[in-house]
Amino acid sequence: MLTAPQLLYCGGETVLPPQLLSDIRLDGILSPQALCFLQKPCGGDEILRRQELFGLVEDEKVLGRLKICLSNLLKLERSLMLWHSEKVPLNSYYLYSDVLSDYVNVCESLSAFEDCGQSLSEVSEYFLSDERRRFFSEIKTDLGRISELLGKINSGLLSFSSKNWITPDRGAVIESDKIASVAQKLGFTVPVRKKSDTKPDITFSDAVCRLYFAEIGEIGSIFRKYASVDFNEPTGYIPQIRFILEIYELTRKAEKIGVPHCIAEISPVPGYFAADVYDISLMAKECERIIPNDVDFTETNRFFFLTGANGGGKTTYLRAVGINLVLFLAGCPVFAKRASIYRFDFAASHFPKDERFDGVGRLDEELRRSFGMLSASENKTAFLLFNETFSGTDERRGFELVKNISENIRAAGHFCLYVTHFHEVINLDFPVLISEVCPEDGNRRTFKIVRSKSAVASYAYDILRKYRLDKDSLTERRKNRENKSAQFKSDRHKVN
Amino acid sequence: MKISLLSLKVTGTKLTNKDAPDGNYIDMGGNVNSIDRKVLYHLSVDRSFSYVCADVKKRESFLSVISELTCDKNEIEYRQDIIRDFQKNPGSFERLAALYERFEELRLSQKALRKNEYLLNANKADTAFASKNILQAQAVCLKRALLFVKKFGELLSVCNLRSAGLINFSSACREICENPEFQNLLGFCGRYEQFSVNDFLDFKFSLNEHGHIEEYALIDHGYIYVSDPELKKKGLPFFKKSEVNYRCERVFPGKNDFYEGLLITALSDISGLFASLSEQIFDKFSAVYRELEFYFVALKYIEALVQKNIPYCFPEITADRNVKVKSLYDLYLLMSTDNPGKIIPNDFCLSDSYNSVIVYGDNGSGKTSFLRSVGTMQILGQAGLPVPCECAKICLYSQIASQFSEAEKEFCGGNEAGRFEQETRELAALADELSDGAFLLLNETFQSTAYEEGAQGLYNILEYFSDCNIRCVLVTHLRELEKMSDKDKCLLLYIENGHVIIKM
Repeated sequence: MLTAPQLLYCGGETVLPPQLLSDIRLDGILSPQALCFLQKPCGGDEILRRQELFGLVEDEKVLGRLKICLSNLLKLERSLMLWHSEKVPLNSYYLYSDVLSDYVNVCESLSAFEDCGQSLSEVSEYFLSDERRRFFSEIKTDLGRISELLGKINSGLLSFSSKNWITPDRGAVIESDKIASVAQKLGFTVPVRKKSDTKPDITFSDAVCRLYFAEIGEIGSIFRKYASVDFNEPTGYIPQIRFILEIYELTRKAEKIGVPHCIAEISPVPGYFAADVYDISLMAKECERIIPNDVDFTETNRFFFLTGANGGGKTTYLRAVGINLVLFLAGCPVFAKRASIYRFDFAASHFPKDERFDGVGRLDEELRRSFGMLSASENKTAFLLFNETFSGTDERRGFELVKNISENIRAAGHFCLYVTHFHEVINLDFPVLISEVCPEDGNRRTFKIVRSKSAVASYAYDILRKYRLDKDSLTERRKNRENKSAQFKSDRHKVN
Repeated sequence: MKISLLSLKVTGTKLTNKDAPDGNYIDMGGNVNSIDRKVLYHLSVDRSFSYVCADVKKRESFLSVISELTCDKNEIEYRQDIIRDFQKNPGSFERLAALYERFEELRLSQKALRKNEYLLNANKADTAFASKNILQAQAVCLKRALLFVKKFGELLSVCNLRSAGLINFSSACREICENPEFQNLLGFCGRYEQFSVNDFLDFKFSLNEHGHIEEYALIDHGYIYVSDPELKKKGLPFFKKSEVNYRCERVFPGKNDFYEGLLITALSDISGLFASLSEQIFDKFSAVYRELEFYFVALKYIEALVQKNIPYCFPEITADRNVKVKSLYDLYLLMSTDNPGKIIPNDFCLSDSYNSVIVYGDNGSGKTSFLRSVGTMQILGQAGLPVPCECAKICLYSQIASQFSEAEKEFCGGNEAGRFEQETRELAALADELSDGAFLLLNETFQSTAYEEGAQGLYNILEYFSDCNIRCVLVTHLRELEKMSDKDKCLLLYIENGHVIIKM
C-alpha cells in the first residue's frame, strides 16, 4: 500500500526561536503543540497550500467533517492504546472489536474530502482507493459477526455458596427492580440506576470464556486475519488537524470581540503591510476591546523606531506585528482587515527579561542576545523585533547602544521594529512611530500608533441627576417603563 | 405534590428526590416577592415578635415566611383557615408538632447516613461489611419514614378539619398508607433490615459494549439452576433424576478485592434505592416541620393579643385598592408595653383614587407609630395573619418597600456619600425595583438638604411613583409638599397627640 499523504508538510529548514513565540505571548493563546507548527515557517509552496486549507475551513461543511475526523482519530488512538495495554482476554476481544470499528470510521471520515482543495483531496483520494474500499468492506462484514457473538456472551448469573458457579441468564429479575416496581405503584419516582463500569478481573474473564467457549473461539479466529494491519497509520493526522482547528477556533474567538481576520497576500517584494492589525494575545486577558493599528514596512522604510507615553500600547503594537508575521509564515490567517506580507526567511525578537517577570539583570545579556540575533539572521531577509532593549543602563550609554545596533540592522538590510523610550531617536535618521491618544475615541484613554511628523451642576440637583431622579430623567424613566409595559403586553398577546 | 401548609403553589407533580432545605429558609414555591429585611427592621416587626416568641429559631422561621410577600388572595385565606383549625384543635397541633420533631430527627439521621456512605465511597474505604450495615440502616429508615406518614394521617383524621391545607395533608398520608403496595414496601424493608452476607449470594451481571461489567445486582436464589458435573459423577440421586443439563462453570475467585467490590456495588444499589424513597418522603412532608414553626408563632401572637385584651381580626381582602381599617394598633407599642390601654388606635381609610398619603405632625406626635402600624398591618395581613384592629379591609400590594431616615446609621468609613446622596441612591434603587402595585413607606426622606430643594425633588419622585401606580405613604416635615400636591390623588393627614386628623 502507498504511504498516506500529509495535510501539513513542514519542508522549510528555518526554525524560529522559541523565545520569539513567548515574547509575543503566543504561548498564552495557543497550545504548545500549535506553537511547534508555528515555529517552523512553511517552505516552498506549502504556504499557499495551507492558506487554501485555512480558507476552506471557513466553510462549515468542511469544518464539520474535519471535527468528525479528529474525533474519530482520537477514538481510534484511545482504542489502540487500551488494546495494547489490555491483559484480560475477555476485554481484549471487546477492545479489538473497537479498534476495527474505529479504524473503519476514521478511514471513511478521511475519505470525505473530495474536491476540498489540494491537501484534503490528496488525503481523500488515498483512502478512496479500490484496494482500501475492499478492505473496509471485509472489516465491516466481520464486525457484524463479532457484534452478534459478543451479544451472546454479555450476561449471566453468578452464585456464591459452598461452590461458586457461573451460568447463562434465564430471565432473572433483580431485587432492586422488584422494589422499584412496588415503589412506583405507591407514587414514588424511581431513580435511574447508575450503570457501573467495572473492568472484569482475570478470574471473571476466565469463567466467562469457559462458559461461552464456542463464541470466544470464533471471535479469536476472525481477529487473527488482521494481525498484519497497521492501524496506527491514520493517527499521524491528529496533530495536524488539531493545529488547523485550533487556529480556526482562535479566529472565531477573535471574531466574537470584533477582531477580523484575512488570508494575507504574499508580497513579491520585501515588505509588511497590514491594515487594522490586532494584538490577539490580549484575548488571554479576557480583553473585550482591542484597538487596531496599521503596519506599513516597505523596501525603503525597513526600520522603524516606536516611542511614546507609558501605557500607550507600544508593546501591544510590537506584539501585533510579531504575531501576525509568525501566523503568516506558518500559512495561517492573520488578524487584520487586509495584509500583504513578504515571505521573510527569519524572524526573531528581543524583549527585556523584566517584561517576562523573571526579574534577572540584563545589559550583558541584552548585548549578547541582540548581537546573537544579528548573526542568526545573516544572509537572510529577517524581521527583527526589539522591545526597550538597552534600557537597563544609563540613558547616554543606552542611547549609544540603540544607535549602534540600529545602524547594524540597517546595514544588514533587515526589517525591524524597535520600541524604545529614548525620545532622542527622533533625531536619528530613521522613521519613527509614536503612540498618541486616539481623538475619535471619546473619553476613553486609548492610543493609536501613527507616523511621527515632527521632532514631538446645584448640589441636590446634581445628585438627583446623577441617580436619574431629576425631573427630566424621571420623565425618561416613565417613558421607558411605558415602553416596556407595552412591549410586555404585545409579547403576551403574541404568545396567546 | 409537596405538602405545604403555607403555599398553594408547590413544586413538582410527583414525589421528587430533592433534599428539603435545612436552614430557616422556607421554600414558598410559588410567585412571591421578598420583602427586604430592612423593611421589617424599619417597622420594628422583628422587635415586636421578640416579645411574642423567645425562641430565636422559630421566630426567624416566622419572619422568613412573612417576608415572602404573597399576593394571592386564596393563599392568604388558605393560611387563615389553617390558623383557625389549629385554634380549634390546640391538642392536635401540639401532637403534630411533637411528631414532626421526631420525623425531622429521622430526616437528619438519614442525611447523616448518606453523608457517611458518601465519605466511605470518596475515601474508597467501603467494605462489604460497611455496605451491609448501610443497607440495613437505610431499610430501617425507610420503614420508619413510612410509619410516620401513617401516623400523621391517623392524627389528622380524628380532627374536625375545615381548612383545605390540613385536609389535603391528611388525604396525602392516607393515599399512601391505604395503598396495598404500602405493606409490600414495608415487607422489603423488613427483609433487608435482617440482611446477612452469610446467606446465599446470587447476582445477575451484564457487560457493556467495552466488555466491562455495567450491571451487577442481587437476585433471588430461586433463579439459579446448576447441574454440578462433579456431583453427577458421584451418582447422587438428585442428578440422576434430572432431565435438564444446565450449562454452568465453576468460578475460582482469587484473593483480591474484585468480587467484594462487586458485592458493594450490588448492596449500594438497593441501599441507594431505599435512600431515594426515604428522601422523597422527606421531600414531600418535611417542609411542614418549618411551617409549623410559623403557625406556632402565629398562635402565640394571637394568644398575646388576647391576653392584652386587644381586638384582632383576619382582614378581608378587597379586589380594588380601597383600604378601610377601624381602630388599628401599632404592634410594636402593643407588645412593648405592659399597659396597652394607653395606646391610641387609629382608623385608616384610603379610597381607590389616592396613590399617595402625606402625614404631617409635630415631633413626637406619633407619625412614625402611625406609619409603622399601617406597614405592619399590610405585612401581617398579606401573610395570612390576624391584624390588631376591630375590623379591616385591605388590598394586596405586589411589593412592600421602605426608606427610613434611620438608615443614616449605616454610614461608615469608606462610604463617601452624604446622607442626602445615600437617600437618593436608595430611592433610585427603589425606582428601578418597584413595579406596578407596590407599596412604599417613606419616613422623613430628603430632610437633610435645603427644604425647598428637597421638597421639589421629593415631589417629582412621588409624582413618578404615583404615575407608576406605586402607592406611597410619606411621613414628613416638608410643608412645601402640601402646596405642590394634587389633592385628588394625594391624601394629606395631620397627627396630633397620636390622633389622626384628616386635612381638607
